[in-house]
Amino acid sequence: MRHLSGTIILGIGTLLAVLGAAFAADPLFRAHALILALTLGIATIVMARLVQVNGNKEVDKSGYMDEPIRIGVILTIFWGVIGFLQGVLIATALAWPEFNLEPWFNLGRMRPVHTSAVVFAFGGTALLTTSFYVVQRTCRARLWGGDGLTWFVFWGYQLFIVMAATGYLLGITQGREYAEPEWYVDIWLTIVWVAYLVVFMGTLVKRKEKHIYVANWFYLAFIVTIAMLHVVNNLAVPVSFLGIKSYSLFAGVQDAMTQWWYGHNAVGFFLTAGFLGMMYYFLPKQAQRPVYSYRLSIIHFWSLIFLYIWAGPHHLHYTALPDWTQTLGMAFSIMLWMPSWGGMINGLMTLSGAWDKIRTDPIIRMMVMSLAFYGMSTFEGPVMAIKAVNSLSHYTDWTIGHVHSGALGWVGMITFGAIYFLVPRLWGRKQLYSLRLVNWHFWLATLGIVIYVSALWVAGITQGLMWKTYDSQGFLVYSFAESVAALYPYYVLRMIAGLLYLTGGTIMAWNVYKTIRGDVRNEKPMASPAAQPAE
Amino acid sequence: MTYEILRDFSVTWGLFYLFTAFIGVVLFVLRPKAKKEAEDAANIPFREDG
Repeated sequence: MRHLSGTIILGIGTLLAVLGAAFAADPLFRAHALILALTLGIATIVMARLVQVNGNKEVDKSGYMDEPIRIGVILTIFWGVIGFLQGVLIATALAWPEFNLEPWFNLGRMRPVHTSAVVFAFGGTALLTTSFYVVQRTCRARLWGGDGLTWFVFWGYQLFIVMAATGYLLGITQGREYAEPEWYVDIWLTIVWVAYLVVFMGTLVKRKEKHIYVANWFYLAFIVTIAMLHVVNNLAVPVSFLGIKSYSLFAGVQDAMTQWWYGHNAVGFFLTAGFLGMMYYFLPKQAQRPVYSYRLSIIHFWSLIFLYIWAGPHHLHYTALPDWTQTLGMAFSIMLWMPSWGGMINGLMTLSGAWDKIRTDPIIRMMVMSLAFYGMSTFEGPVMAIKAVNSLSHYTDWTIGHVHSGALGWVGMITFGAIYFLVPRLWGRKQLYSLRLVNWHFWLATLGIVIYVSALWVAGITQGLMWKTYDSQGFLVYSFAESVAALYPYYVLRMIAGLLYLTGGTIMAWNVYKTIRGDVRNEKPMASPAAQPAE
Repeated sequence: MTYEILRDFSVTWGLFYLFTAFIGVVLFVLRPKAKKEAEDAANIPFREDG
């Protein structure tokens, strides 16, 4: 009777959600609980239809558990396209305010939907999926804890995404960047995350390989640190048991510091350490050669771990935060150059002796571009953390450009590379539907990033300079509205850049769909076999 | 436990602990015997079955 206990648990969950709506302390909680009841209700029906009364068809549990990985790849692409589309929509609303649709789809609500969709839905699902794939392969062991626990982690995380996104649109937020969900959604994520840690650790413990491969160290650091950051940053006291509102346990500058300790390490351990785990497995596999220096990868790991956690205060330069804390954050940010570039060089040099693969293999090209953007954004970040530079760049669009060079360039490109690697293997296909479409995706995405980043450099510096311009009497020369009007052309450019990146994403979705169907596109091979690498 | 006690502890023993731990890791990784182990570990992704 597989799926029976799951169906019962989901049914009870649906009932509890309905009760939550019935006894809600405020209308927003009621609406949110009804969305939860609807989601769980649909899940109950789907699950009930899967129940097999005569349980003859037992699943084979000797091999790797790949079913959640297959669904995870599809969901990663789905959330990616949704997240990129959200980005294009809010970029449009910034250029033309007519698209700022009150009340549900205004910028203030759509922006966290975009950031959470790309970071937690697209990036998070990609990390969950690839970590399950990598940990099984490099430990040569099936995921620990039984299939039920893995499915709980997988779908529990998707439920978190749905609750977070619908909450933002309803106007439920605790106003902490990248940590907007309110207390009850935070508690749910904590439960799911602890289960994730248990599955991952259990698999590491029962490994058949003596050494724990470095990719798993990065994944583990990501899981453990995110657990710690999430719990501490979301310490809050709810106003009522069935209401949306809660108050942070910290106040004033301590609250701000806790938030940016969380915020910067979300970048450091979610968007960097996790995806480095991805890089250290998928790049060597695709290049078919071991990582350039394994010892450098271990030093990369420990120096990143020891340094990153201190860099958060650079988000609070020239605020009420004590001066020494700001300087500490700046100093550690600059020190981060070393591990970041060590890691980038380690990744790039893995191709040493096989540079021709950049020309012949568009998937390698994607991974190399992601490392290039890793290097560029981790060079730019410490520069912006220097207080003198920050006095120009802070609160301007330069910051947003910087984030996107890391997110679109590094996180996006390495994920696309991993997806293109995974799809033929997971569905037992000899090759992708089309390598030329991968190449199209590569160029559309690259062009999109370059336009995006350069447009926002100009926009940010324009803004920063206009805000700082005084006349001989000491009065500000420009009003704030003038600095907004000056950004119009760059906002239009940004929207076009996002459109290019989104187009690349939809091409990937099409390519993956056709590959899963088993089609192969009739096309000229990427590089003619006659061509020889330059001597 | 006051702010001053925590701060004094972190800038002395805390700093000492983290710094020596890091130096220890680096020395451990760079010890002569580690080279062969590292080469072996780097090939783990190519040993998987299936």
